[in-house]
Amino acid sequence: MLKKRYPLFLALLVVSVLLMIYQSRNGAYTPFGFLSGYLNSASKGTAVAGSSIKGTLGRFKNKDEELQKLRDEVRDLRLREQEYKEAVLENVRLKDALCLKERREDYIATAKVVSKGTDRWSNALVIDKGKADFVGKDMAVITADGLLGKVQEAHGFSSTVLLIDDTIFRAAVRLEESRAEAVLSGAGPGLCILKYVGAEVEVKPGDVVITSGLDGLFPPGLLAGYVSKVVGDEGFFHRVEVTPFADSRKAEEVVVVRK
Amino acid sequence: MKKSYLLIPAVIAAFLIEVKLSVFGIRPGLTTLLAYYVGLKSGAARGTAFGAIVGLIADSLSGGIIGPNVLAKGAVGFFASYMAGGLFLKWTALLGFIGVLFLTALDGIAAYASTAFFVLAPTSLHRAALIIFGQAALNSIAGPFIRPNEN
Repeated sequence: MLKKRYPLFLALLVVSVLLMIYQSRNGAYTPFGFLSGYLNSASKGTAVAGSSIKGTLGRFKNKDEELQKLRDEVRDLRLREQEYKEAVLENVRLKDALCLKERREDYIATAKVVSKGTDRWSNALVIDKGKADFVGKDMAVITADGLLGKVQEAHGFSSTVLLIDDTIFRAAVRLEESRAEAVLSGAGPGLCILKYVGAEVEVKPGDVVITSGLDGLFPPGLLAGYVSKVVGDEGFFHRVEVTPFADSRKAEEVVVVRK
Repeated sequence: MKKSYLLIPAVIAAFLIEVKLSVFGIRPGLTTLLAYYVGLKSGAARGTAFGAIVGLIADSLSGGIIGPNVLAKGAVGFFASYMAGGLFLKWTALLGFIGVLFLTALDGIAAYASTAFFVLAPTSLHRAALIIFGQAALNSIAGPFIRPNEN
């Protein structure tokens, strides 16, 4: 039994290792990259279907007799009130997005957040705008509060956004007050680290961090976060913790801007 | 496995649902559970093949190289077959719990290690450990309920 099984595992090991060696030298081979676009579209579909099923179930539940009808009416009114409240809140958010659109010449698209990213390691979101809306790789993604992340991958009608607090996220930034340049690096949910801030630079909690534009990826002057803690010195540099202004857990509508 | 055609919608649903669920920022590994299920029910060959296919889809969706999840999920499908008998003791609910815990952790470790070795570490070791063992703990809840065929 064991003798029969082991060659199978060995084959799996050899094939996958050979595949990885080949790709580590020649770049990622993505014959099924289109699947991402389909999954994102399906995700968008399930989100819409889910909310309509929820609405339908909510409306048609408990309707037996007159009392039930009255209850239904009350509930319908409550649902409508809830929908109205949602619409008002959405209106406020869209107004914020519209303000951003009017303020920014580098505006590309306003997008809705559809779901979280599929890669288990990265902190990413999926938005409902892609190449069809001129969204491209590495474009900055912002909310009314500030920088949210960058486009990691753009598909036809959706894109994956790498969030500012992901550990592989990097952005060239500067401290707004002292103008000192630094590199902002993601450090896990709701936290970033400011790297390469010289020990001679005065940094204090509350200092605002903005993009410098020196990396050629992000437009200069985007609000990135504020200094939440100056942990100490690491040789020639300060170790500074930064809290991003944009909260990815609350992001629903975002704006994509070009470099 | 008689109802193998049901696995296709199950895989699609697992990928769709996986991104919607999270407990303290940790997602359950539904696709890993599926690979475990097939390995446990249908044996090493089918489990490995199914796990490798699911891994191929997961790698394609991640936008990175193809291989880490093929290896990791294929290994889950392969080793899950041992849970039904063979090297291990007779299946019990506790063994199911431990098996899923261990194999989900193995899936995460294999995927992280191979990505780090062949490309670059996708995240910090600290965060990877949190994701891997968090996911293993979440998945292990399903362990006692996924039973091998009785024969």
